[in-house]
Amino acid sequence: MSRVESPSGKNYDEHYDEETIALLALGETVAGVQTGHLRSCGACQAQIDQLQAVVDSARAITDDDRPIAPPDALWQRITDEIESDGPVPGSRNSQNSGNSRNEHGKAAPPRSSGWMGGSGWSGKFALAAAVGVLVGSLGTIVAMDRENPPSMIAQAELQPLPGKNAQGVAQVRQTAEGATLVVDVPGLPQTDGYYEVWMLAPDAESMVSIGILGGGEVNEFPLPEGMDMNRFPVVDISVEQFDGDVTHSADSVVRGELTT
Amino acid sequence: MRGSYSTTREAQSTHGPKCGPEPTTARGESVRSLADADIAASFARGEDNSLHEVYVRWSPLVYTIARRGCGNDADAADVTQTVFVAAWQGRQGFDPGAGSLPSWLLGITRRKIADHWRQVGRTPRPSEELPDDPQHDAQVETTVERVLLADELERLGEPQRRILELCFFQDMTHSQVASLLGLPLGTVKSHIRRSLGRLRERLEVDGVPR
Repeated sequence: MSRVESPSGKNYDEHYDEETIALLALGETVAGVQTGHLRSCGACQAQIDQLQAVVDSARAITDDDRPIAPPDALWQRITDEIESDGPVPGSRNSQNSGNSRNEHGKAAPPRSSGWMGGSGWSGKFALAAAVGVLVGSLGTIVAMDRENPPSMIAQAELQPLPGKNAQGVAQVRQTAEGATLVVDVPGLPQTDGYYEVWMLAPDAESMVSIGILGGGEVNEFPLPEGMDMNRFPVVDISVEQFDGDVTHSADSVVRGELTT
Repeated sequence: MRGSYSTTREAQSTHGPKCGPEPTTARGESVRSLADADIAASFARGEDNSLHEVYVRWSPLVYTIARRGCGNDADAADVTQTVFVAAWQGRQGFDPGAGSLPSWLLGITRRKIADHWRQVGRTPRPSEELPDDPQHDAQVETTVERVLLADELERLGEPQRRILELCFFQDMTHSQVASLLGLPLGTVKSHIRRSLGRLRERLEVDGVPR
């Protein structure tokens, strides 16, 4: 905490600690608080005032202030409106359009072009929109049509996180036994620890651990029945240490969102 | 009890493993910030699927603020639509170095809510009152703050969220909270300090009009 000059010119360290300031901001009476210091110390008072404003706003929160998702159909309306205006100049696909036209159906897919190959900006966009609606309405993977032969029902292109340098692909396949996550990330660097596969919520705040990557390049993980791909659409692979801590290390190597 | 914010959901989880040390929250937080920064960076580069990620991550904030600002679900959906269309079309105006993506989105949201009311003014609907402009702007500002705080409260994790909700909405002192939850006083105090700091920071990062 910063030191301030007392009126007598002497430095003093009698400011409240941050916990006391927090309690005072909540309106609590704190034993041993010298009101004299509070009256004379602008630094402490300013901190209390600042936190108190936050506390006052928070105390005014009602249930209507809790963030709720917009109606399901809204994303489709947004993509429809954007597409009706045509591709936006400066978007990545307009820069790449020459490439995809010349090498249509022939060139190996460039690493960043995604699994849809030559499809254009609006196609990808519409597909992304369809995912939201489709996955949203189906709810869980197990609700998928089981009469279909084993097939890919969603895929994610796994891209390196900043400073990392691997990439790969993850697919959710429907098999007779249920949904399976297939992960293929060649060229992961050696690690003292191990790699763990996760499915994250879009905000990466809640997550489900799917399993530990084995030695081979392609790993398959049966997904638990009821696993909600809509809630946990992001496939993430992290480096974990043998530290006995079961939580995510926050050291992710690759990540990508599943789309159908 | 203050306000009408429900705290019943937490009532059953007074004790249990969640009340111990919380590495999950501390580490989960950094995973989340990383994810947010990734989304913002990919949006700034105009990548194909980035608007969808932005929408998934932040449309609840935009929609809820629009709902409070417009007063009904249908207009809130319209405003949310214009916000995301405008965000995509104007994404070159987003500078990740100048502030957070949500603060930029909420800036657009404020303008679209104001546009909405101007439009209502031109097309009078007897059932709706046209709010006085400056006053309405101030109302939108306090709404933005409350929605951001409610969002951050949700993200605090347990037991931090329950501790703050008891302080905020049940008017409990930290020692009452400590004895209710069976936690050491020092733990409760330090959770209160850190959590209030997080709420303040959230307003500073995402709540400043841009």
